[in-house]
Amino acid sequence: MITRRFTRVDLTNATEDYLLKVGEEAYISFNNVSSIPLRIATTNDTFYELHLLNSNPGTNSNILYGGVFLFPNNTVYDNIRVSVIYRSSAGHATIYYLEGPGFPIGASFFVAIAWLINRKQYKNVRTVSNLYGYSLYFPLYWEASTDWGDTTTEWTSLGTIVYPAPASGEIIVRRLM
Amino acid sequence: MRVWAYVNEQGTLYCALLKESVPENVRAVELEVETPDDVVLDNSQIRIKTEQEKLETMKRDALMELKMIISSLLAPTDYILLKITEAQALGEDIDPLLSRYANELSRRQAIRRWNASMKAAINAASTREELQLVLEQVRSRLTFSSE
Repeated sequence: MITRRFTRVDLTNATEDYLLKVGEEAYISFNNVSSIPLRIATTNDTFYELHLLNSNPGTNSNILYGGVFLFPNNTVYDNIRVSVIYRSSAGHATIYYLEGPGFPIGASFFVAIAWLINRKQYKNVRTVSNLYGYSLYFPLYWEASTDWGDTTTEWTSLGTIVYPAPASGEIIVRRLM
Repeated sequence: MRVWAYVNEQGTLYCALLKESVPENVRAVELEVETPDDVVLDNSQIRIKTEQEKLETMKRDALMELKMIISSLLAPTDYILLKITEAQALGEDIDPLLSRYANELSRRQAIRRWNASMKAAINAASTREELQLVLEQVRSRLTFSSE
């Protein structure tokens, strides 16, 4: 049996993109900011796992409404599509379709895991996240699959995560392939 | 947040979130915005949305959210309408079904009335703050079906 352990690179204060090797993970801590550049270079035929944990408590009094998006290449493109499944503990599910400029990875305060595929013909992010702090429907499970429909633009920088308001937390990005 | 907005060769508006992400040979406009959605291309001019335009965008999103919530609240009892429609198509008496499902049908009517009042409140909001209060009312009724 082969045991693999991820080697960690701290990119919290990175000022330029770092190309993760397979088996490496990036760690990024952010504090009271609404825009977090991941500073991770990416190439064709790569696959990543991203973990995001907000440290904000997310109570009803400070709830932050709005989507949190990853913008590939640190750029807001107009040709990304998304389908979303949205569930609550109140016993009903909502399924809907969205069009938008970024990869949605959560909303408000949340913990999320996302899988990012970068292939020229298939650029996709799938996310599973749990929102917390919403009154009456807490916890709230949410998942999304987003295709970036553009097959000509290359995905060269993993991107920037943007919140609707300042937030704090930690991000781990692992390169799996 | 700061963005660098530019128009590509195809005339599409893009917003770079880092200055170094602006392609070479492109003239970008540096703007301070609340979200990247605030930037628009208006007659080939890059500008920030007006407060009224931001309100309209928020209203559009709020109406979509309301629609999704209403749909999820009605979906669990949609089968009742199918049963009634089938009975009608077969020429059967639907009164026993109306009586059996009276509570569910009444709850559906209440959901629709609530939908109409929330839709009206969303459309009537004159500021984003006012609209935010309406949205909080919408979200707080997600347990409507279990009441």
